[in-house]
Amino acid sequence: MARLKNLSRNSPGQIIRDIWTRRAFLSLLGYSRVKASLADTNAAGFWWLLEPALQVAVYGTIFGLILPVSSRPDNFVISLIIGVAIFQTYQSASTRGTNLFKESRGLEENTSISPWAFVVSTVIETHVKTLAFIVIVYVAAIVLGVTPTWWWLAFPLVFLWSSFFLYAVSLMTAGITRYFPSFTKVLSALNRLIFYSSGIFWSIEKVLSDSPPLLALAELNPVYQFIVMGRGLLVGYEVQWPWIFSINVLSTALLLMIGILVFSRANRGNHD
Amino acid sequence: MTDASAAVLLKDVTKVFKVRQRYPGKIFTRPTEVVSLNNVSLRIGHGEVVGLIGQNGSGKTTLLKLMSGALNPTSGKVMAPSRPRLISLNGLELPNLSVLENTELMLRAHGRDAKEARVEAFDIIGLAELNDKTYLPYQTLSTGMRARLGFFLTTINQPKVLLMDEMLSVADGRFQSRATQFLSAMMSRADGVVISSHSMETIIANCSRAIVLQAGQIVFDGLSQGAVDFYSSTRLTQDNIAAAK
Repeated sequence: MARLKNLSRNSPGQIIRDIWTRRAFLSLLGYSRVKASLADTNAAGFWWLLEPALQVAVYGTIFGLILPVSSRPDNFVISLIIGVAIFQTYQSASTRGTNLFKESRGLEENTSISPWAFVVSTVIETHVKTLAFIVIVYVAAIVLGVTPTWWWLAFPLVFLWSSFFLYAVSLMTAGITRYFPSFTKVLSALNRLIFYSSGIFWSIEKVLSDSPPLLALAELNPVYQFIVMGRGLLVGYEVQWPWIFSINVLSTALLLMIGILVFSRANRGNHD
Repeated sequence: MTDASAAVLLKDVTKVFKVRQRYPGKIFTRPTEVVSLNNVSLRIGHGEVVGLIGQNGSGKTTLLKLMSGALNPTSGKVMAPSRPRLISLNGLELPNLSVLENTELMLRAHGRDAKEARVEAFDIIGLAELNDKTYLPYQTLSTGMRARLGFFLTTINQPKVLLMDEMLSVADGRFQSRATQFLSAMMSRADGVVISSHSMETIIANCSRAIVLQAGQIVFDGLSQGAVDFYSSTRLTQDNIAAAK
């Protein structure tokens, strides 16, 4: 006779096993959500590439015109594209996280898939969107005459490595929104703040060179750290790899811990 | 109450929902608590088919969701050897993807690989009599069509313990008879079944035992005919009280 189990408890081991066994489905779900978001357009695949290209063009034109040359990063256009690409992955993960509990309820009831697993599909969805940016970055780099190096091949690894950060961000926004639905209103303002403080279109090092404490604070922002890594690999920026990688690991781990705490509380609340 | 031979076991389960009340003209909402289930203990034995009867708001759906693990009890314990499956029509809906794509995705969610999902998706669409809609966006299906597709999608995997919440009230008569046959086959293979329904015929035809819920408490637990008689008499009494008021 099988032993009775308490149904309201899922151990971390069970959650990780669930994510691993459902990995094919979670990938397909992420991909399908991107496909669904483009399904109402003519030539969906075309818009998958054109939409980010338009964003890059708009940012490039506006900031290229209004930003003083002294505060621009070197190789302005390609640096801007890399910054926009990395920021978009963060923005996508954060905004998609806010809908997570609502969107996954039906599937969760029907299939017993844990909400922790749905966060993985959100990260995959983000990466599917990001792939278009990676294509644009490579094409732009070649068109703009950046000399290709072997380091270019490592550029997608920055996005792959950012998965842990994106997972943490989705956990946090999903958890916070569960308790404060109005957080979605705050998030758009918060994302603007991160957009302007991550050195996407201006060089933090140049602008904050007179203020070391502010510069140190800005460097704690993981979005900035990923942008620096991307630029280092693709444009050959001088990067203190051990330093940037260490603070990136630390800040990601910290965010992941906060995300897990916030999400597990919200997940319990979602079933209460 | 012996635990060993239970397919599902509830011990002193209470479920309280914390909600916020909105009053017209007030800016702020006020927190309040709604007791959906109050100290319910229940044992579903292996192989039993149990009916769940009660008026709207009596706690039937909450009880099923607790049994499936979709909700946590506020106090008490819900236990089972494996997670019972709540057969409901909620699921994945990416409205602008095709009927085929949605069906395949749901099959993948239930563990099918890509090839199996493709083959089975056509079968399920056929069972739901939606062959001519296969490549159309899901959002073009009527409510009844979605219910048909949803029904066959939710019955993809045979669960050990089957929980059904008003499954047969959603589609037209011709489909209902096919769905009943389909469910009967599933029920005969299940290790335990709980059917929540407002249809007394469904309860009597399928269940050996039935439970009557009233205001979150079990007020009758016994043979299904007895439960239906009890429910009908108490409902009449309540209706009389309401009419008198």
